[in-house]
Amino acid sequence: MKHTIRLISLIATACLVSTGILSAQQRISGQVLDARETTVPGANIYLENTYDGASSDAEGTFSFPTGESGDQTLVCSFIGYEDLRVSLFLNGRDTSLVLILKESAQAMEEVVITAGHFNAGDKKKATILNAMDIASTASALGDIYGAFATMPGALVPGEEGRLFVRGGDSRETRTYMDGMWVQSPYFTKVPDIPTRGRFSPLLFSEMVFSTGGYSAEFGQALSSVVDLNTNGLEPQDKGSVSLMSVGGSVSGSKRWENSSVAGTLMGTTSVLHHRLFRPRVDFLRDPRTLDGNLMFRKRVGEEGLLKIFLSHNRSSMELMVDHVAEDTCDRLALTDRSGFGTAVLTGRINENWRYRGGVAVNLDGNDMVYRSLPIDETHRSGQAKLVVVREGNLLRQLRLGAESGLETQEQSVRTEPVVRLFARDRWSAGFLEGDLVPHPALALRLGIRLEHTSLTESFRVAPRASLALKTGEKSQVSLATGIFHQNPGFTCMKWKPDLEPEEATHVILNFQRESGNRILRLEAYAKKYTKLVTYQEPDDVEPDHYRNDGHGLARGIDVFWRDRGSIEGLDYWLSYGFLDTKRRYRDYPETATPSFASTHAFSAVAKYYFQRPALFTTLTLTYASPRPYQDPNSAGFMTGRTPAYRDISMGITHLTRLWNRRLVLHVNLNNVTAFKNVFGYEYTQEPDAEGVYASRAILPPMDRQIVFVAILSLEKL
Amino acid sequence: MKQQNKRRPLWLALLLAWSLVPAGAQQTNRETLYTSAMEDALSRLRMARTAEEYLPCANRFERIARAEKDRWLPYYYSAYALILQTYEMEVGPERDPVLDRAQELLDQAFDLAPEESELFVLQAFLLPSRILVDPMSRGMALLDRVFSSLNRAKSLDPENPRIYFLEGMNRINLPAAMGGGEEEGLALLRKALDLYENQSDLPFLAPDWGEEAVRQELMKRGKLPSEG
Repeated sequence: MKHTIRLISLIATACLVSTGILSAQQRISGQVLDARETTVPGANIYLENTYDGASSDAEGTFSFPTGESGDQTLVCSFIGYEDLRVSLFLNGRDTSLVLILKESAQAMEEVVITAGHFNAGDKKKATILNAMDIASTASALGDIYGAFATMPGALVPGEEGRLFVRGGDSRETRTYMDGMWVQSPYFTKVPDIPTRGRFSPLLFSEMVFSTGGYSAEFGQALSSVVDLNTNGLEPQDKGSVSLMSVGGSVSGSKRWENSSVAGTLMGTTSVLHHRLFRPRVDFLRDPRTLDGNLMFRKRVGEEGLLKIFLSHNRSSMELMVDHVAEDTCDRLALTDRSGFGTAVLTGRINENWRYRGGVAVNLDGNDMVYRSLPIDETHRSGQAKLVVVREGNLLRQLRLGAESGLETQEQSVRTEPVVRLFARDRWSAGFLEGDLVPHPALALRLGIRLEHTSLTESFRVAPRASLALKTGEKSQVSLATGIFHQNPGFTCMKWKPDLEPEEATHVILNFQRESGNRILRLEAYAKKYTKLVTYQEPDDVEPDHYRNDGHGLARGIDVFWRDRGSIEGLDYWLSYGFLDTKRRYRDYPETATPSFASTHAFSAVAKYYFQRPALFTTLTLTYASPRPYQDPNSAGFMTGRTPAYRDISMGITHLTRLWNRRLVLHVNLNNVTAFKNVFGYEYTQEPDAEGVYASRAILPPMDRQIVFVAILSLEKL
Repeated sequence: MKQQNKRRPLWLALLLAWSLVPAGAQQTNRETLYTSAMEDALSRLRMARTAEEYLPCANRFERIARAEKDRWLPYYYSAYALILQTYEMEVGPERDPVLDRAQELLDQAFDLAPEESELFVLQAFLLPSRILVDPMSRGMALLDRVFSSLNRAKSLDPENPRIYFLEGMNRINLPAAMGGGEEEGLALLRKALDLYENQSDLPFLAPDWGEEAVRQELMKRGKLPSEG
């Protein structure tokens, strides 16, 4: 009987244990710490695949009972840290552990290389501006380059409309979209009338404006690169119609499960504008443009994305160009067509490798009739690029890429006989660049770029290096250096195609301190130019006069300060750039400061939101010190100085409702106080009877500009 | 002797039978374990008030979610607790990592139940916390998503009172230009209250929050419909 009962109880226990009703209980306790031995409260500690677990308390300690036995995995997780997994064998005995969590790579406040560039985007790190900042900068009127001009080191001379970066000519800045080169990011430039960027800032989720020392991924730009990254999938269906004092536009987007399409069609005409504000320029036919773009996005596979962007633009105008130099007034009629298309595919190859490949086509052409002479120009290019990226820990990113393209430019002057000038370049390049993060406070980037051009059948090697070092909790220093090449422009190559690429060497030192809402940036730079193209006179037809024997030097200091929200509702930034530059290029007889350079340039941009009435206002103040110009009435070269440039611009935006839909009303006033700015002077070829060369001031097309915009969303609220 | 012999096999048989029963009983056991764990977690969640109190609640639901793997409800509540935590935190970028985590959990719930009205409601509850961190830049884009999530929730379950609760609160606090309006907002809150009061018995553990907040808001504005 006793045996029986014992046997029965043994079996009963075994059965009860196997059903889990009566199991071996034990406690698992301990403490959670981070790598610096600070306690971690609120961490989640549990046995995988069970409910058993607990949260750590204010001292990081935890304790929980569990009936599990045998091999188990204990998991400890906390936001911002990597999950910790510990193998345990539970046999009924209490276990005590100390769990040390490691910060996850994304959460770590790692230093980011900032020398030589500004990031405008929505990413949390290293963001100085975001897309809305660019879109709403008053002086710029929605022009990306105009907004970048409020950054130190960047100038947009009033008659130009194009970016001139740190003593470099406008052609020294290249624009890329999703990694593909955009041949003409501006509308066609017409004498004395500023142009502007073709793309709306709202197309892009991120814009990187580099003022020098840029990545080995890019080339063919002596000064800087603007890298625009288009938006991903449209979040939802949207539509809007807008009416401006200069035209109108319609745009819409449609979203499906894994794809989206977005398009805009815009037409502008300055007819009304010129009636209200008489321009100085005598327009026979007011400028008008028709612009359309289409963005198609599709998810491909698990992590891939296909982006297709198509844009086409046509513009035309007719005006009388005043030539003091020739004492004539000439008719200029211009029709301009521009098309850009790109397809980029990104995806993942395997756990560590990603890829990014794309093709792009640029087709630009303009027909001009100048002094009754028809001149046709075409500029076409096609390119293909593939980049593979490896992600790791110490070698955070390794980028390897190759690209190739064909570019042709042609100019036909329909004289008798026809004069045709032609340049064609088959180019290719490869690059290898690595980002190393040996320590969260130190980041290094080393890269090398190899370029080949068919014009000279030669290779160029361009090494690039940059680093960033954290000097305090909120501050860092950064250094960027490298060699940059750029083929001489078509104006030179059409006469002598085998000119060597021009070269620039950059050294940039940057200090940055970020504290809550405020950021301070100080940057010192030096750029040495060699092999700049020189010739003897404008439109020099003698090929032998074109040589690579020019040189230049640009150095300076840039200061940037931004404060968002220290004063309730106010967001402002201040930028100042000191530039000391001289160069000998083009038809310069000697080394001189070029006419686009101002020694001191200052910008202040302020944005403020008034609650009642609901008004969002922006104010931009710009100052640029006198610019040089060539005055034949004075001895020496480039000795004239224009008056300083001043401008105060304002933008006011009001959000309201119309027909149960969102309505945005915006008014932009440029040069509110009508400062009289002079950009330079043009002189006659021959002196008059008293030996004085007559001149004409190069002035802005109009003193003041006011533009009204109304945008109505099509979705009902 | 004969009797003992008879009993032993009977006992053994019963015990052996009992050890075999668990196959089916384990299933019921699991269900009971799940339900009681969820009940416990829910009652603690209802008592939580501060950011420090919400985090352990979220952790509790997350443990259940990971153990269960294919139930959306514990992921839902885990995300819900984290969102509530962010509303108790200071307005600032510290909210972002917590909201990122909440979004991850919500996305896992969506993977398990892509057509569940409550998940779209929770999405519309998460987004305003993000907007508050940086209203100037985030307001435009995220507000559209708040309303589109609520519309999706409406199409899946038009009687869900939380839809009208959130829509009402959003409309009351927005300026007219962005789709706001006090009158409209209050009408939506009254509709929410009506639905809360007249809803049929909810399945056990189903989300049932918001009624108190609706009452408080209406009372604050003196617009509580008079009780009969």
